[in-house]
Amino acid sequence: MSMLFILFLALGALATILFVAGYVRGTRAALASYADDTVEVDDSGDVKTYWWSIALAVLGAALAIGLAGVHPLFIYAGPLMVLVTAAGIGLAFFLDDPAKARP
Amino acid sequence: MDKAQLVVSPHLTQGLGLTLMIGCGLVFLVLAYVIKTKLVRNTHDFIISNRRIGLGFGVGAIVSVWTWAMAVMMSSAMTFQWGLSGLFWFVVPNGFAIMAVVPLAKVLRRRMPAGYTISQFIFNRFEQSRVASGVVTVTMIFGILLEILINLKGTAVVMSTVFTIDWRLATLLTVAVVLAYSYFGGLWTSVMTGTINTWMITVPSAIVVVAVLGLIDGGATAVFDKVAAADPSKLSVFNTDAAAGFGVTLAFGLLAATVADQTFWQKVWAIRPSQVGRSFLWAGVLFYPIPICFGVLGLVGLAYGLTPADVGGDIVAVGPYIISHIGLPLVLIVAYVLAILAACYSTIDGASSALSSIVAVDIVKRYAPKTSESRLFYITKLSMLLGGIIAAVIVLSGADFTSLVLTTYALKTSVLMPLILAILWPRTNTLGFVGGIVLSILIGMTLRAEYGELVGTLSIVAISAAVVVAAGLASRRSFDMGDLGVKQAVNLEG
Repeated sequence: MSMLFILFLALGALATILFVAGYVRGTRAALASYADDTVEVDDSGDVKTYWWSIALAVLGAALAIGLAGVHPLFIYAGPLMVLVTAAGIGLAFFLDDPAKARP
Repeated sequence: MDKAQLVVSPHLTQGLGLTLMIGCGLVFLVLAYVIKTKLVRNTHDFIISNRRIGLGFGVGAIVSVWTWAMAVMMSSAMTFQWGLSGLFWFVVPNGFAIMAVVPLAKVLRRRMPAGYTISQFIFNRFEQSRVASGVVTVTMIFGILLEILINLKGTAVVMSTVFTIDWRLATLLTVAVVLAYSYFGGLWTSVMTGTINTWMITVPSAIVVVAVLGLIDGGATAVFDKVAAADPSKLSVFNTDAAAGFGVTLAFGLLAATVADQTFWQKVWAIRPSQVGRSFLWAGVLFYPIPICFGVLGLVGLAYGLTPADVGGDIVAVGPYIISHIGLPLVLIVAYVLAILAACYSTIDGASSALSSIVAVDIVKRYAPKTSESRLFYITKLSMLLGGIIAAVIVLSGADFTSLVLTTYALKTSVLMPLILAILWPRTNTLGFVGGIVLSILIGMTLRAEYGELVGTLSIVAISAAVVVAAGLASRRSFDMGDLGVKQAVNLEG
């Protein structure tokens, strides 16, 4: 096993831990609130606040693909970023507190 | 790097393949039973999860339903065919299509907070027009059937390439497994198993792709050098052939695939209102790395100098072929297969769940409003089984489903602009909406047959939008969007 492979195994394990912790938290929140009929309000801001994020995401993806054709090191960007996807979903469970959303 | 070095890995028995398919389904079945017991009380919970889905499950579920089994393999295939420009044109519009839902979702969720389906919105928006809502309902059902068909085909390709399982058996087993667990918990099952599927697609795929590169002497550098030596244009994203060949058409097709798809609208109304925009934004951002990661396998195929004939004639099989022939340990081959199965299962259960919402709200409640809650609950669940069975029969019959693909393409592309305008522009009226769809199909599909897909797609999009705008400007009436929330409320809460 190469050092790089071991590094990815370790990063994968970290992403998995965050994912599982988030999933457990999300499941508990779902079980606690599924029968809650409180009408929530949308406090997530105007749609204009999303345009920059969308543009940056599109640009970032295009850049990641383009750079893979510039230097071989960037070929590893895809596998690395996909671990961020798993970790990001785990993180999303922690950034959402249903209790705060109730009026 | 010589393709003669690629030989099929041992131990890839049919028994192992079948065990993976069934084992995965059994785990989800147990989870679905728990979900049914704890989270589902009535049809409302079954199809809309009491509008309690949070950011984590929202993001996980959206990523999982958008990651089709075929898409996972197509990212490798497009890279294999066009190089990095193929990957660019496949990936960039894919993630954008999810994020494009954000403005529409936020607007519609605020104006119609208690909605269930996009056809229901059209029904309320256009003075209970059964023609307008009927067109949208049919479009959604065709789209869902196609989603199931394509994912069944994707699974059949992988299981027959890696484990030499008969594709008919793989198809039947997939339908049986997914419908068995989806039947119990509806949308909650779909989002909770879908989120697990997203993990199964992401972490194992990263490790598998790095392992593939590790098995090549010189790793990524050797792949890079080999591709550059064979055809340097394959390492550029600026090859316009890919854009003209499929990129531009795909971009519009993908937009229609999210904006005109109940699978996503169901989630718009099921996710807690404050998390709708963020869920679609995060899903778009976090989706991007998945096809980029799998695209590396296409570069590896190019570096080995593989030809379509080497992988069985269908370039979609290039990813599975490399995985099963490069000499990976069995556990990593299994991880890759599970990633494809996860992509397939999550998309089919998401589509089935969307179908159940259409049947409950746009068919049963609209045409038989006095149907009791208990009967509605069973009809809703049975509709999922029926959708899966119809799709399986079409695949198993060996019928060429080109006509279904064409019909769905025409309907979805023609609905795209009228739907966006109906949400954002109050002067959109019934005549413009229906006329735009009908005229754009009639003229656009004729042009498509004559001049090809690019001209056809652009014509359909332009004509449908122009008709809606012309009809809206010709009429002085403006719809009060405030009416959406109170008109014809559907009570499914039992």
